[in-house]
Amino acid sequence: MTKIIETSHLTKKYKNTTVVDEINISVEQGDIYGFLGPNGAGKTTTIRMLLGLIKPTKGDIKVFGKKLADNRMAILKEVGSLVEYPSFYANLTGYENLEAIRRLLRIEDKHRINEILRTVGLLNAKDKLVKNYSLGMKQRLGIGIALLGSPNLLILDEPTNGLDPAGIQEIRELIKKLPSLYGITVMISSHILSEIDQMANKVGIINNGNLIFQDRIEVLRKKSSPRIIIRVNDSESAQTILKKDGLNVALNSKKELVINEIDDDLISYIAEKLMMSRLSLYRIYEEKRSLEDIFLDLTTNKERDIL
Amino acid sequence: MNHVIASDQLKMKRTFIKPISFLFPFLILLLSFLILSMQKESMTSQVNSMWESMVVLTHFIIMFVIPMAITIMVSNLISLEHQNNSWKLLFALPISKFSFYFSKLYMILKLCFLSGIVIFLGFIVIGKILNFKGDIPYALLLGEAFLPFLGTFPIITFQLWLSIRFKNQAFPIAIGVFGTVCMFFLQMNKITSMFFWAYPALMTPVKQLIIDGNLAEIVPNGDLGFYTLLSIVFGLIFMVIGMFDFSRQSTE
Repeated sequence: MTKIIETSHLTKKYKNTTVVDEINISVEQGDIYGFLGPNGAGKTTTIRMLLGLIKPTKGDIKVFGKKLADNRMAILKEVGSLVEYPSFYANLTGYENLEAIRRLLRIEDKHRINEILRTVGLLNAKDKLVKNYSLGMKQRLGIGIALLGSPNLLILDEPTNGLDPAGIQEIRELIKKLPSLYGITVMISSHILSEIDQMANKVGIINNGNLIFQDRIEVLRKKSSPRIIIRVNDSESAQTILKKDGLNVALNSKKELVINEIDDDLISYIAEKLMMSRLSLYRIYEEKRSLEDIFLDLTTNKERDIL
Repeated sequence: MNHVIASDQLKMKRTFIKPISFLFPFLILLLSFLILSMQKESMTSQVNSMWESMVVLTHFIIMFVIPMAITIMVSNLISLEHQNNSWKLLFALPISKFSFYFSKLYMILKLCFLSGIVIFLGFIVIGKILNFKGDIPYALLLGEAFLPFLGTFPIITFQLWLSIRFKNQAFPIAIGVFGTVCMFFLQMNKITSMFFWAYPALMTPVKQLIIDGNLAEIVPNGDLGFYTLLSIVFGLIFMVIGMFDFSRQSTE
C-alpha cells in the first residue's frame, strides 16, 4: 500500500504550550482515515500543518511520498481541503462560488461545476445566494469546493460540525462513496466517534496533542466486545490461581478481575475454581462497552488504561 | 496571474466596490458643477481661463474624496476575504500568495483608472454645459483626472497593507479618514508635505498663486516631478512591506 500521508515526530508549539506533540500519522491509499479527538486536542492544528497553512515546530510531513516543505505547490494541486468552517463567498450563488474557484485552479471544463453540484446534491440550489443556504448546504458546498480540483487526497476538518442527524447522514453517504467512485483518499476529523465509526476504515485518536491510538477501526471495535468482571475478596491471589490455569486475567482499577472471554462453561469453571480456593465471590457480571466508552476512556483518563 | 484576477472579478459581484468606484467621481463632478455654475459670473471676470479655474476648484474636492474612496474600496475588497474566512481556503490552493496580493492591487488600480476616465469625461461635459471659452485643454484635464490618483499610490498600498493585516476593518478605515483630514494641514508646509498623506493635494497640473491674500494667476505646478517620484517610491515601499507581511501571514 502506498502511503499518502506520513508524518514523523510532527510537533507544534505555541510559546510554551505544545499543541501537537510528536505525532506519527500514517494514511494509506484508499483509506478513509478518521482523525478523532475532543475539542482542543490538536486536530485542526495538525490539519493546518498538513496543508502547509502553518509551519511545524519540529518533524516531517510527507504527502504522496514527497516532503511537504519542499513540494508544497505540487502537493496542493492534488489535495482538496475543508478547514473548520467552510469558506465561501456569501454574496455569490453556489454556482458562482465554484466558478470563482474554478478560475483560480484553471480548470478548463465548465461542466465540472455542474458535475460537482450533482455530487454534493446542490444542483437545484445552484442559483441561490450562499448566504441563504442552510448550514448543511454550506458544508456540502465546502466539500464541493474541495472536490473541484479532482484531488487524490481530501482533507476535511469537522465537516459535520453543527449539522443535524439528517445532515450528518448526507455528508456521511457522500464521503463513503468517494474512495470507490473517484479513488480518493480521505482524511476526516471529528470529535464524535459514532460519526467516524460508520465511514472510516482507519482511526487515529489524538488527545492533548498526543496520538494515543492509530489502527484499523476493527481493532477499536474489538475493544468494545463484552467482558466478564469478577469481584472477589482477594483479587491478587485469585489472579495467580487463574493464571496457573493459563487464563488471561487482568485487574482493573477497582481491583476486579477482567476476563475477555464470555464462554459460559469457562465462566462456571472459573467460578468453581475460585470457590474451591476458598475465596469469597461477590459478583460476576458482563460488561458491555460502546465505542463511545472506549473513546472516552482513551481520551479522558489515560492512566486508568485497563485495556 | 490572470486567473486570480478573473476570480477576483467574479467575487466583487453584488458588492459595493464597483458602484463606489463610479459614484465618487460623479460626486466630485456634481459638487464642482454646482459651485462653478454659482460662481460663474465672478470667475469669468478673472484673467484665468475657465478650464484652469475649474481644475483648481475641483482639486480641492478631489484631494479629499479620492483618498476616502480608496480607503473604503480597499477595505471592502479585502474584507470580502476576511468576512468569508476564505484566506485559509485560498492559501491551501496551489497558488502563490503573491499573486493574491497583486490581484487585489491590480483591482484597485484598475478601478482608479476607470474613475479617472469618468472624471476626465466629466470635466469636458461640465465645460460644454457651462460654455467655457477656448479649445478643450486635454492635457490639463487628463492631468487633473489622473495625477491625484498617482499621488494616492502610497495610500493605496498602505491601506492595502492595513486592511489585510487587521481583520477588523474599523482600524484601517479610521486611519484612512484620519489621514485624509490631516492632508490639508500636511500640504501647507514643505517639510510635512513630504509625508505621503499630503501627496494627493500636491499632485495637480496647475496651481493658483496667492498674492497679497488675493487669488492671482494660475501657473503650472513646478513640484510635480518631485512629488511623482515620492509617490512612486513610497507606493513601492508600502507595496513591498505589505506583500511580505502578507506572504508570511498564516491563517491564525
